[in-house]
Amino acid sequence: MRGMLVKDFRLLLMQKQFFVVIVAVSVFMIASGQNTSFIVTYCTAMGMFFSVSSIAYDEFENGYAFLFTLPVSRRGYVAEKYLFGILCTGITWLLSVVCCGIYEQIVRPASDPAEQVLITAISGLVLFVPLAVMIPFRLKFGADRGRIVMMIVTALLFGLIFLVAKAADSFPVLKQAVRAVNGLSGPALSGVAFVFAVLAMGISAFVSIHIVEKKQF
Amino acid sequence: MLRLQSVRKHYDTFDLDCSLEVKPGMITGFIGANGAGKSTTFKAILNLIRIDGGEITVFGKPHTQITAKDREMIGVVLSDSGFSGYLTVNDVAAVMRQMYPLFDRADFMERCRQFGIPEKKKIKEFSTGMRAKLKLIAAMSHGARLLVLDEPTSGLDVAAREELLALLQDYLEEQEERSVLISSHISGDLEKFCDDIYMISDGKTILHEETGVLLDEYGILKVDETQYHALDQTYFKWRRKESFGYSVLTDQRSFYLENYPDVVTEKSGIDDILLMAIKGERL
Repeated sequence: MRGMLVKDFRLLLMQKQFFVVIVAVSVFMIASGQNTSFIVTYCTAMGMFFSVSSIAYDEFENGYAFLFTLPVSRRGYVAEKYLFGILCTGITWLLSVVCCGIYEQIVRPASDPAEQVLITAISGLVLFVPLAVMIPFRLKFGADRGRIVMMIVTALLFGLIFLVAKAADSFPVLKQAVRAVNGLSGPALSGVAFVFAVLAMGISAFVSIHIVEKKQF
Repeated sequence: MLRLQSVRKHYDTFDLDCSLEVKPGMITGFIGANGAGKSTTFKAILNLIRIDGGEITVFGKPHTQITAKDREMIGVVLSDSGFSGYLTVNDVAAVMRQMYPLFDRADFMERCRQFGIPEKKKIKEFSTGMRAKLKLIAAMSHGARLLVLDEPTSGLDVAAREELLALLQDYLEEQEERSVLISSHISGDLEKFCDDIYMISDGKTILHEETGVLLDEYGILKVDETQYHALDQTYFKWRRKESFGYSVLTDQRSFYLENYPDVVTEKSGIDDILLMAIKGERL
């Protein structure tokens, strides 16, 4: 597991110029008055995308075949991908929260830092859901096909959300559920987001293990 | 150390049915034409593909029960796969240090320098020969008891092949129980290096023999139609129709040299035997 993490972090460091671009874009967005919670979401999403891209590196030039001759089990490989995803997403989230928090305190000293942290925590946790969706699709379909499938799935998800929103008018139960979520306090909402993220990652890891154990190289 | 018993794998256009054994301390060669099933056999051994029948045991365990800990004792070279091309030798050393408790970084880096492998260049920018050297050096860098080497000398020039095979020989001599299964399309490498050789054709093991016996006892008789029928055919193994009559492969060359001095009897190399086994007719 540690060896695989070292490999992925070394591959990640190779892309350091992209991180410079992300920081530059973030600074530009702050300068143009963009909300800091949006910047946190943007940076965290980028961290998540980079973590998932490690699967494409493994796949490059039939690399999987050799990887699975190394002292790492297929389950271990999947576990490492999730850990790497959580670390990348978590680290970029934490760094962006700290940077944006400092900026907020300088520019708007009156703002409540606890409230800011809560909002960004929720936005960070929510991003584990797309991570949970992306990893099994990448493992199953590879980088190129996986991207196309992800686009289709995203379109379907938006369609589903749209339908649920429409249906909410006709079904009081749904309306009540949406109202209940909207009415939750900050800590309760982050608790719900946390449970949701853990559930999504758990189900996703289960599916990914099944995919990788079935794979032949 | 490693045993395959009637291992079967079915594809739409190809069927593998292979048996072989690598004993402790032995270097076993695995030879066959392109598409004969060598790489499929290696992938089956390493559990990279699921087999449809038969049994594979590695270190006495079914290959599907080989743990990550067991894999620390296996060094692998695959002909069509390796470390990510985006890594450098320094990266590979860092990764291997975390993966293999017996990885000797200093020795690995020294070997890389010895074979002119750059430390900071990405592997994808390496020549084919450099990649082949790196794969083999990495496989020998962590004290593996079993080396599974699929075409490890592919892409190397004669001098580099000699050097690497010498290095491999030294590695094996360090500990007597170390074993190797090696495939190569360069039969000369296997003739010099292996204790025994398996030949595979069209997915099936067609011959297994000690290398010494293959080189000393096997031979090819070149005979016309009349001679062919006049000869004692007890030791005929394969025959091939030729314009002059038949080429016949025998595993008792000395018998024909002594009893039929007028018949053209030639020593056979591994390539001759393989060609006969592929193109000829089994008797």
